[in-house]
Amino acid sequence: MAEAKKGPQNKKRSTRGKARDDSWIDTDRVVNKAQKIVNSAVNVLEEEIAAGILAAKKIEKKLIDVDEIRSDPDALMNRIRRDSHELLDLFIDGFASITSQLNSVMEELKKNGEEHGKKSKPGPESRPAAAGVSFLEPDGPVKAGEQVSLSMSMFNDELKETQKIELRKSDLIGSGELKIHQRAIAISPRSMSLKPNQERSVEVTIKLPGNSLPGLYNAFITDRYDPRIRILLSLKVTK
Amino acid sequence: MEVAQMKSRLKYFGAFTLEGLHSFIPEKEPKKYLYDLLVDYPNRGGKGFRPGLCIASCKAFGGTLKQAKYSAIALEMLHNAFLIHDDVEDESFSRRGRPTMHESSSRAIAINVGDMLNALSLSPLWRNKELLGEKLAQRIFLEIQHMVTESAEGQALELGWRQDNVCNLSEDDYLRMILKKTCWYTCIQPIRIGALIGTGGVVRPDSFNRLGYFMGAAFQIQDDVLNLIGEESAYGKEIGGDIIECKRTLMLIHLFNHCSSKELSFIKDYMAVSILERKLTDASTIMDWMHRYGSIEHAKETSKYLAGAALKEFYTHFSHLPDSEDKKFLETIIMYMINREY
Repeated sequence: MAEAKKGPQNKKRSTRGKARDDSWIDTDRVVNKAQKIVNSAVNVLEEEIAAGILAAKKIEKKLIDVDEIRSDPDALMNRIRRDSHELLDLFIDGFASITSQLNSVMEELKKNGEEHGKKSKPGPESRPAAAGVSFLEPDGPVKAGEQVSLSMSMFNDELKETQKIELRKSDLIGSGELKIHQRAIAISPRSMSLKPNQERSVEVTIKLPGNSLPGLYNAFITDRYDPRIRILLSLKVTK
Repeated sequence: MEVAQMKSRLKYFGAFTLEGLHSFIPEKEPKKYLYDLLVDYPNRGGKGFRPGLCIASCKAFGGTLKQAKYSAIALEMLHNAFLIHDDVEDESFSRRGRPTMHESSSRAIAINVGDMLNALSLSPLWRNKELLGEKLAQRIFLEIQHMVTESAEGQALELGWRQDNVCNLSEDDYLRMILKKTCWYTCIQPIRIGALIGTGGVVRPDSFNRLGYFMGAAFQIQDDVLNLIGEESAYGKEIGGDIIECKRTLMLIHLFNHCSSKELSFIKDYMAVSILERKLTDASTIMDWMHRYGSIEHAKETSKYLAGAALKEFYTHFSHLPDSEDKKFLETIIMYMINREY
């Protein structure tokens, strides 16, 4: 039986019909091929990075002897101190970075004038703003699996225009790889329209998943239409 | 920036790094079998690509040449250690126009010299503490540790394929292997380290992964194409050496997937014997098939697509920086890869 030859196909391409133009480039083919190659590369990269993170976590688990640490109160305290320092460093770094970015935004906004008039007003659980950021945090730590509700109010200090607000939220980010998905945060109402001088209360409910790991977490709430609305939601999770 | 200017800047960064590397070599015995050999490969005039990327990224992000010095030296030491060991593992005959170290001395001596270069690279990394502070020095140390691990894993993949004469490989397998073997240490980590130094540790280094990967992959594929069709005097290694060594290049993997079963069987038989038993005429036949099946053309195209993707990533992550010679230098390297003629 004759074997089908797998030679290169392009050499057999027919040149019948219109005269072949050597300068002609099949753009679709080039784009598709380029896209396919780049997509394959991206997938490989993502897979490898994920595998690396997983392997590093497994090593970390192997290296930390929980029982040994628990049995030695001094070592445990040292570890807590060290972790707390690292956590604090991370938080300060993160906060400095956020503040620096916010300051840039503030400068930019000052230049553009004060044409908008929406503001978030702190609720009972809120602390005064620092660098234009309002803080929202519960009175004490929240246990994994528990729910806590916080309130704040949105106020339109604009004299003439009705303002539209649509609040957006981020994930709750803790130290290292700690993260609680944003679906744990519910904002009600999430979008609203405020007439001049109108104020409206907003409820922020955090329902922690049962498997949440202990630590200090922060999330950011912002308005889709006004970047000056910046609320830092902060909470401590315990077991 | 003209290509000639880019090459001259690369040469300058390379010379700066080489001078620094020399200062870390102890002046003691045994010189003949160890310390004199440490500078053998670096003195042969490599391109200085890795230190160049590290220094230029650092400066583009606002750092100085001096701040990137020790990291660039460590990268160059590790690169040369990789080359020495790689030549032994691949049984290569020439490197940068001269016999490989194990050919001119012995395999045992060459392995030991590579080990010493690896060990010595810890010294500049340690010195980073004085230059950059403890925190940033630690981050760079972890970057280097990751880089070395990935390279060894990539090398293991390729050596394993050769040992077991694996031929059922796809392009994804190839992309994974070069990501690990080449890209982390040639581009990704040098750029990450440079940007970390330049920003005092503020930048998120993961954002450069794609840029470095696309650049490194384009660079490696072009290097492999040159191995087949370049000028030996310019290339510095034996032409067609990769076919003799049965290196799993993109061209070879393309050929595996496009040739007839009879031809594939011929290639498998050729690769099953030891390097000294392989015939040059057979290697030449495989090279002819690579031309016939468009494997070389496919590799050239692939490298250009990846270089194009690298340029897009470069603009995404460098456009916001103030214009500088170093930013232009990085852009010109990528443009050079896109426009490269063989």
